Amino acid sequence: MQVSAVPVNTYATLREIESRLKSIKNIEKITNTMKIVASTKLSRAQRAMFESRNYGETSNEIYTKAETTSPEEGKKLIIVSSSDKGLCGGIHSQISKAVRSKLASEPDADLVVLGDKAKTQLARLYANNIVLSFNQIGKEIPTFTEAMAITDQIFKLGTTYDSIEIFYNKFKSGISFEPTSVPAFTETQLKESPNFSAYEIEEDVLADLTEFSLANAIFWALAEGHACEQSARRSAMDNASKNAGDMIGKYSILYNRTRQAVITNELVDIITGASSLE
Amino acid sequence: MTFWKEAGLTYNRYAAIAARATRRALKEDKRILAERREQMDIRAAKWEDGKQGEYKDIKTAEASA
Repeated sequence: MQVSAVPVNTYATLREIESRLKSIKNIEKITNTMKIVASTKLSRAQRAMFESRNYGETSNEIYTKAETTSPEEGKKLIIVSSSDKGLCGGIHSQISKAVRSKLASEPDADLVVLGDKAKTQLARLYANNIVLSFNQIGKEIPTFTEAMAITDQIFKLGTTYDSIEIFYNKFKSGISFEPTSVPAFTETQLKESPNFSAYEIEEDVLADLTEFSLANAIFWALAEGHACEQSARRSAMDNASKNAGDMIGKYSILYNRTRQAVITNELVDIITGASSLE
Repeated sequence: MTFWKEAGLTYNRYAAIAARATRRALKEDKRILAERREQMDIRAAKWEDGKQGEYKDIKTAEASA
């Protein structure tokens, strides 16, 4: 923010600068608090994320062993994991960008959006693709109950999909994340996988396994997304506090200079007035 | 084993109900910790032709189902 040249140093401009300074100091306090809150939430979120990774990887083992693959053709479902809250850097816009580029190549895919922020971004261009949207996501660490409920609502839609893909932000480190996608495999895909004969599975259990695996995958995506969001919010609030601190320094100097100029002007007035009386 | 399937429940719904029953059966202090894992405030909205429908609370919808 530019510190503009002040033409006349009066008490009015002094008051302006003073109120500006006060509000910037308040903002710095608020962003600092948000940073601390995000840091504490981050440590909890990271723990939950590591546990969910075990869950997701174990659930995926059958598909890796059976070497299941996703077909390119057919009815596709894209699930986007995001959240409702902002002030977290580029989390929502990056995941929306990744989904948009995917949709550009597959414009007939159905979209299920978890979280209001991604919903508003995607609804601008792809509102006709959205079939289901969820909100009140991201306030707490995601629970498996939520993942199961989401999966349930998806299956209740009744559409049979040929392939499912889940987009989420992968937690790479405390300061970096990456929008990634994992496939969730359907019943038919599992049946057609090369090593399927290695397993002894009864027919009716397959459908249940598919539902449960999708819940696992959604839970994993939600947990990683939540951890990414907390870390992004922490660095965003950290930067904001630093910027606010810089501004406070600049404005304090300006305030003192203006104050001295005002006093000097008053003195000049008084002395010229006094000397004109002599 | 598939009485729930004949009743029209999905596996996820069945597992969620069974988990809830297990959590309620725990002793006081363990139960409080477990109930935290059950919290769910999610609301869902169906979309048709690019228009969003009403948001419905999942928990109340499932409780009545």
